[in-house]
Amino acid sequence: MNKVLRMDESIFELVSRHPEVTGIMVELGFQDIAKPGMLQTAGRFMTLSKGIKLRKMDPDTVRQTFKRHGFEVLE
Amino acid sequence: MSELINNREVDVPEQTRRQAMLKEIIKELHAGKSVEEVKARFAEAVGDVTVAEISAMEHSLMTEEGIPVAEVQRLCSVHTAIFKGSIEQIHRSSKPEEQPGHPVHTFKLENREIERLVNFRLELHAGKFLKNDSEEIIFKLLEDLSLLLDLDKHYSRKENLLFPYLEKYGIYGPTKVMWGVDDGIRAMIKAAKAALSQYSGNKEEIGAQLAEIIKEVNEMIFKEENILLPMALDKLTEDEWVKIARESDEIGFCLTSPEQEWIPERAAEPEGAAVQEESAGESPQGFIRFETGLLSLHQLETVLNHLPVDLTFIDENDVVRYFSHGKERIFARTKAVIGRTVQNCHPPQSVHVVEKLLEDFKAGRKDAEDFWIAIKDKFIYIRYFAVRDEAGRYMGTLEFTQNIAPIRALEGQKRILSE
Repeated sequence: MNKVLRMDESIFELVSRHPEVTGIMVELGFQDIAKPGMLQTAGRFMTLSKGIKLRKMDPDTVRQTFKRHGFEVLE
Repeated sequence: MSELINNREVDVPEQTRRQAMLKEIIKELHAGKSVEEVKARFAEAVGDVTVAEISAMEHSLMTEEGIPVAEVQRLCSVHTAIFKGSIEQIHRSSKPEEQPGHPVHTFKLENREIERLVNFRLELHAGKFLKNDSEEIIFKLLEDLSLLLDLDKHYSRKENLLFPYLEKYGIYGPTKVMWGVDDGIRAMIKAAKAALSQYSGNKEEIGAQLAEIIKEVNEMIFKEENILLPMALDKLTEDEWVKIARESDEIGFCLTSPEQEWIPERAAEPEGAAVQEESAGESPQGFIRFETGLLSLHQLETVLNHLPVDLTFIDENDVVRYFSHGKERIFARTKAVIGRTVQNCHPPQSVHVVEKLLEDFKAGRKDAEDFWIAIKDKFIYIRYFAVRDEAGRYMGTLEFTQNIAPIRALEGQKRILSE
């Protein structure tokens, strides 16, 4: 069964549930989140939807990437 | 109220007890119990601590206890589940950050100007430049970039005024990362300027540089407004924002400036107080008749400042009315707190602790509450007393803070004068 994420959950929450999300975020180009102290602080305010807006990414690309890692991304 | 119930200082023995409970819980999770099953015990273990304190505990569990990161992260999900409610309950009645002159308001005001410069002018001129690299358009671009360098002030205020406060609350990562990006943007603008002032036909290269600047500047605005500023609003007290606002002038503003000085809302002096403004250096006039004597205001103030304790008094409406200012005040107070509600003097994330205590005092459930913490060579004893009149009506709360390390160190007896 797929693991499920929501677009508006904080990255901190996502990583708390599924530590492997850090790696996926890095793969998507959010290297900063892996730096020391980031997850506990900025990670509490960062969400997937904010990340998509910030980098002007295609939401589908993000969904596909997560899907490859066994996640389903809900709105 | 003191910084203690801000939870800025860590209460060591209490933390050890909590950590022991947390470790128990981790073991249970490890043994296969579900989050739901341990939730209640977790809530009991960490009941009214702040998120920041939990983070510190998680950190020490990892580094000192050698508990694997993955285990601690499982614990995180439990505390996130529990804390979600309480964090969201803490609301701010009015939004000071939306008032002109508040540093957050000013940062956003500047961002609107930066956006205009970057997304309209610079973008437009960069486009024209790619079509026709005339001298005229190169001058326009140089002008835009020189204007844009003004964002150095915006970044400097962030780095030198805001970051130090975030670091005080243990937030280092994002500040370090962001400072690095700020520097990168500054360097990019300077490089593009240099390249344009000695233009040698490398149109595409400069076009790419400009596009990169536009992208990075926009991303920075997004990061500031969606992450940095909300995070800072969550941590900093109103007093800290006042200090930042006051020191902002020295660094200056970018492309615009706040239209007015930000003056946070303060409660008025109580009616009938009729306080005369005394001129500097002059002692306050008047006498106060007590049931057991008569003191001049000057005597009274001096006596209070000679007590070997720090006093702070908030009235029945939670408004800070007075603090004593002896030589060795343990927790600094500034005059700016007078007339503020005590809730505004605390980081939003720990206000609920203050409110719970005041609620208990007002409801008569408690008359006093004590805390003690060890900070370096001091042992600080902080006591709160509900102040009630003869009829038992709540009049306010008195905070009574004292370094009792020298008292605790007393032994035997001393019956003669010191030399």
